[in-house]
Amino acid sequence: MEDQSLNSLRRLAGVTHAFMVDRTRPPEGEESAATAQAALLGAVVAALTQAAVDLELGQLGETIIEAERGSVVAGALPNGRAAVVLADSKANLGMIRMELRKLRRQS
Amino acid sequence: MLTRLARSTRHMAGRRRSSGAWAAVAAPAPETEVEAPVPLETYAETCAAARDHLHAGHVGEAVAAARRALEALPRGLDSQRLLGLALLEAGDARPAANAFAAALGADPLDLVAQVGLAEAVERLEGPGAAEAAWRRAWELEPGVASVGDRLQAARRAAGVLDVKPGPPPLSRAALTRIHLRGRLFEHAAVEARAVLAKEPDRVDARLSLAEAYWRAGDTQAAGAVAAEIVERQPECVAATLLLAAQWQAEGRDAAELLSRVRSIDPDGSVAQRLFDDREVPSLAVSAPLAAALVAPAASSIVAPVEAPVQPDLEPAPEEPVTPPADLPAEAPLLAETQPMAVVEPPPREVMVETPVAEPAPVEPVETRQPVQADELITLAPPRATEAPEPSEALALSTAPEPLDAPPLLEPTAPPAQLAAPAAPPTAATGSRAAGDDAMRAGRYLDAARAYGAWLRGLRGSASENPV
Repeated sequence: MEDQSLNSLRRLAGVTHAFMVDRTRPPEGEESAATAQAALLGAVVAALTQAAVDLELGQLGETIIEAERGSVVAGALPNGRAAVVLADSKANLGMIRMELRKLRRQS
Repeated sequence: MLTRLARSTRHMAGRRRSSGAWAAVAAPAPETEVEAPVPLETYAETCAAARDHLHAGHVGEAVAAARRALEALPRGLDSQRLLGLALLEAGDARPAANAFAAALGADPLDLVAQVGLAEAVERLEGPGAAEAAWRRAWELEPGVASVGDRLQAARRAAGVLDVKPGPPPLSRAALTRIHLRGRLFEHAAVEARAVLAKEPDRVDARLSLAEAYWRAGDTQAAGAVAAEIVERQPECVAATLLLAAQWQAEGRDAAELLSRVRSIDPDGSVAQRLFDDREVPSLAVSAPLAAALVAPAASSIVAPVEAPVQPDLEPAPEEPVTPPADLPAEAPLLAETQPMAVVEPPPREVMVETPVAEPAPVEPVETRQPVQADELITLAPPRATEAPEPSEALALSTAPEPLDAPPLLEPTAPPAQLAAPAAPPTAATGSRAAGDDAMRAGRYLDAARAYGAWLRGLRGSASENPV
């Protein structure tokens, strides 16, 4: 179900990976690069969530990390989950954010 | 609607607390006066009479009184606005538009004058032609429902196809004002710079930028932006005041600037809005007036303008932070900037948004090929410094410490095995376990490091044993 909900994100041009991560617990799954990526991104989102709270900014909404060869876009979802997208440098971040918000509304 | 708006803004101005210092500044200072003393009483009384006539529906008398006020003070802000209102009521839309334009020259953020101008343009050229004016009014005070309705009607008349029910979409200029109201001054500055990058001639956006700098405590940058406004538009009261404040701070004589302000806005309405309850800078050069400018010890910025804003449009924090009245110049809230030039954020940054109310109809950025940082509607503070190092790239842009610094979160574990660049598969498995442990313990930074090592280990093994 969760995997299906990410399909709209995966269909977007430039999106290389889309994960559903849990900010509150370690990931499960086989020993693979995809699992490791999801785990790393989950930890990053969890750290940013904690930092936002520590900074008295409230709950984390969205995070965008723009790097040289691509971006990470994360959108918080209910129940400690977050949808995280890895995108290349040509991706349309506006569309990704729209889809993330749509996902948040549906959750 | 105009009369109601004029009444409400006057009411709001009356509610704003003031240290009373501006009244002292506005009073003629005989020692330094450059021009002849302003006939303040005559002007104020005549303006009051014009306002009374207007409210009573005596349009002809209101026009006459406003013209008399203009004779007393040819560049008077209040009189120009009243004349515009009266002429509009009388059906003379073109001269009314001219009067409103003159008032906007003195105060580009005057909502009443902007709405009046939009109304006049609509009467002259139809609703479609007035779209830009209505949009500007909406951007000055986003959330005013009546203005939003008129803008939507103007958009439909102009042939805009995607006009949806509800309030108009928020533009960057509107976000600038919202952030200013919410005291998110850094964010306001980011939005204002983005507006100016595309529309460098927008005085209202430049003034908002100067105001954002001013309220953030970066008086030097505020003065620099204000100087550019004054150069182009010398009658702009707010910019002249900010420039005068900067001149005073530098020890320069600002008497001429203050005299100009008094000749346009003798009752100090713009100064009250700008300075609120904060310590009014020593804008008077005479000793008695300077002594009168000493603000109360507990002075602080009062609540922002209480415009009728839809709550869901406000990205303000739940508990507005009251910045100190006298922010030290050594530690400005804003990053180092080049005030005259539009500084675009670097392409690589981390942006963290607190959840903005979802229905806020911010127009999505549809075309980001490649990503342009200035196109993204974001709440991120400005990053005018150079692009961060990779180790900084994960740090919150607002956080004073880099991510790998311990004070932000839990103390870090000994990172010996975590920092290994390419661990063997066995070490990768160990890194996963270490990451899981750190994750369960809430040490997310440690978990991220461990998972990173895990990922690097997996990649290393994959490169050694390609499938």
